[in-house]
Amino acid sequence: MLKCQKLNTIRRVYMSRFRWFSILVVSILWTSSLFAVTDEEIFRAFSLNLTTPGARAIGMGGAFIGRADDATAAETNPAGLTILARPEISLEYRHRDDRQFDTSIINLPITNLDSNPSAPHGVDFALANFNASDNLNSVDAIGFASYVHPFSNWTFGFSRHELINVEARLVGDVTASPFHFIEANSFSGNSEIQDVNYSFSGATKLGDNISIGGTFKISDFSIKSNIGARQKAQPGFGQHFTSVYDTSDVRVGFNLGVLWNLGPNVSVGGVYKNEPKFDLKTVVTNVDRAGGPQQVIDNVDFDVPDQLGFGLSVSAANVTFNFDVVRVFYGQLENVESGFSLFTHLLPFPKDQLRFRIDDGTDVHIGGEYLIRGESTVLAFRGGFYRQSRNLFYFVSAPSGGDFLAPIFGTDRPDPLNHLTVGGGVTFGHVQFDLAGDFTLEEELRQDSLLLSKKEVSHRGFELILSSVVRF
Amino acid sequence: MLSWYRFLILSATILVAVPAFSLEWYKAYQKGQDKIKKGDCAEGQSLIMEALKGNPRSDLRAPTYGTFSIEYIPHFYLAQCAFQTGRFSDAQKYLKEAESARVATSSKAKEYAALKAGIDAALLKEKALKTIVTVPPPVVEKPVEQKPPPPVIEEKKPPPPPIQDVKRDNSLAIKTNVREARSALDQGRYSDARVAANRVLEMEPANVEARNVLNEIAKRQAAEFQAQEMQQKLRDAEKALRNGDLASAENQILALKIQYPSDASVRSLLNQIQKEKDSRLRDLKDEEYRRGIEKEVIVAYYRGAYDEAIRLAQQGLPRMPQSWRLHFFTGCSYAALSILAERGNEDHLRMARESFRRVRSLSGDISVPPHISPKILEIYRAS
Repeated sequence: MLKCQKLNTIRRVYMSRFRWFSILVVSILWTSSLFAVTDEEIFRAFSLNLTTPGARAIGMGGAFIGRADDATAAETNPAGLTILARPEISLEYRHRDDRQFDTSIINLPITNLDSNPSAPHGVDFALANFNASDNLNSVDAIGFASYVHPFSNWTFGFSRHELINVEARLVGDVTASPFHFIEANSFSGNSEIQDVNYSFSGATKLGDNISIGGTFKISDFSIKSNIGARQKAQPGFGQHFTSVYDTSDVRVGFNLGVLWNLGPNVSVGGVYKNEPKFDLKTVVTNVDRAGGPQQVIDNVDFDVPDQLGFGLSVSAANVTFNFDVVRVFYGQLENVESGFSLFTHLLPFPKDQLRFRIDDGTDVHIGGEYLIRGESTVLAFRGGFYRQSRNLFYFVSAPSGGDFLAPIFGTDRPDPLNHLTVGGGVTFGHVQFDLAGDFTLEEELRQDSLLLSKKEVSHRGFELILSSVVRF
Repeated sequence: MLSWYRFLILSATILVAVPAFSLEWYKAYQKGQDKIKKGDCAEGQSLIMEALKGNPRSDLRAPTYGTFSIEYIPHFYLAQCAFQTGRFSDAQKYLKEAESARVATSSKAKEYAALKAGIDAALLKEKALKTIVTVPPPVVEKPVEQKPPPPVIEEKKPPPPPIQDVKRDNSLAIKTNVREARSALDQGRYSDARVAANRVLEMEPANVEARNVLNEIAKRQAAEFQAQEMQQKLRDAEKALRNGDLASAENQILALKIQYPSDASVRSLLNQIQKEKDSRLRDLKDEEYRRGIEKEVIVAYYRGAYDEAIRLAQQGLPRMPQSWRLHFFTGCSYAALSILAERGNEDHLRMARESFRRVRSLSGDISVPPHISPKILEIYRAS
């Protein structure tokens, strides 16, 4: 009887503690705010790829939230750090092949919206062609490094993760524009964007089957971009128009994760990744404006999208299947400030009437692992697939010039990219080596209307990931 | 979204809320191992027991997490502890369990051999001590008397009844039934024919005539069944063709053609399908041509090449006389030429009106394409 009362008291205390804990968690998560980027060429073309660390995870299509049983958990799902029994270090090297995205539009309808047109009197309509090519350069880098140390009730870790590492060359031209009637314009430039997280992680168990973890990260963001434009017969890029970024910023963010073992072979996980908002400065100069150059300096709140992911992992004997769904809040990049690009810097209406939109995306990851356990080694074979949503903004409405802007910026969320992954690994005693190949499939979008033909090609991509884990 | 200082508050909250929990089996095992190696058997043993609760199966390559596995021989460590605390029989029991997990082939083989020798020696010593204290009386085993097996009684079976050779003269009945079977077969009454033939075979199992009748029935029925099946398939293929499902109609009829290569109805249906396919292909090509020529005309018009637009439209119209767009942009081009001419060109205007009237007769009120000059639209509406 006494024992029963004691148990009830413990349960009441535990439940009340759990209740206020839940309320606090929900109230802390329930906030939102608005941020912005511009419609400059760099953001029109810049495709974020928020990487999942570790060749093992990538080999399984990046599906790892429900498993998270190695040192990369610090980034993927910090709750998984509680699984580790011994201190371990891990290192990851990435090689990404260069990749190209091409857009070509033929017969863009152009109606004169230029108050001072170069066209002969009486000509108020033309057909234009648009071409753009965004080349992502190849990258070789240490993508992830971590040290994890389990203590009696807590596991702590330190890691470095390159969340974004993009070098791109952007070129394009349009033979006429409603706002520059009728003058050919072209642009060319380079951009480098890097976001490196230095993270401190901690994880513990909330009971026999539930673990939670958190990662506090210091994000070092840098952007260097110089896009120049020319018009008509100007010989050099930048003689008409320039858009320059050269900023770095350091902010903090965090990850929160939970892992729940539903049984010996089934676990589910959830993770919320908060990425910081960076303060960037853009300098847009209209060089050959009548009456002298005009410079616009604007602060851009570039908020790297947060992510909310859920994962399921099922294992049986030496086989594991993982499935993740991740919501990426690209909408945080909104509102898109217009009037900064080559196409929109001479709008005949107030800039805020040109509206763009960025939709949140849902990424799906699925993959598996098969282990062959030998006398002294373990061989692993892995395969997976994932759909990567994209952050590009698209045209919604404008008082005029929609016929021209809609085909260039698109009128719907961009199609996701499909990735196939394969991988393998070998474990000798306390040392594990893994490698994975991530093949991005070629995607082609064609739109043929009565007048206009549009073709968008995302060429094939390949990424090689090598990683190693050493346990002590 | 969540800011970093809220995250810190959350972390502190979690720290307070963390309850006690049990360790994973592999963590308990490794901690137990460490404790026992350091000589702390009391703590070590309880941790090993906790590990055994989580995973009772010893394994030299027990998977833990990730791709790592460990040598999991908890009974060996329990045996070590039992030996150290003087519980030799327990130690021997644990060691036996460890042996079944092939501890002798593990990395602890040497320690195992030493431990086994130690336990054996300790047990012998213990036994010897017991023998000195009390000598048990010798045990004499009594021989067990064996009973002789019971005699086998052979069961007597009744003798089989004598086979009686019965012969009757059935020749008349056989003849009658054979005739009846043949006649029923000729008239297509297969069940009557089968009954009569079977009656004959009951009387004379080797009767050739009756067997022939039965074979003939089987052949004819199989042929009829095949014919029915073919008809059904033909009907299915015809239905698919009527429903416009050319692919499945073609598949079905090609399968029939393999079975019945010379059948006229199969060949005829195949021809029909081929014709339908050709016709659809023509339609598709026409559609493709129509789109292509319309686009060329429209692009030429919007680029201001009105003569070129008219030329292209006249090239396409003989093949696509129903295309309202070709007529419409021909009209627009003539109208534009008429407007561009300094004093207007009556011929062009007349041709424009004629083209616009054709548009109206073909498609009634069309949705007018964008970017057409208001002056041209005025001519179109007035036509």
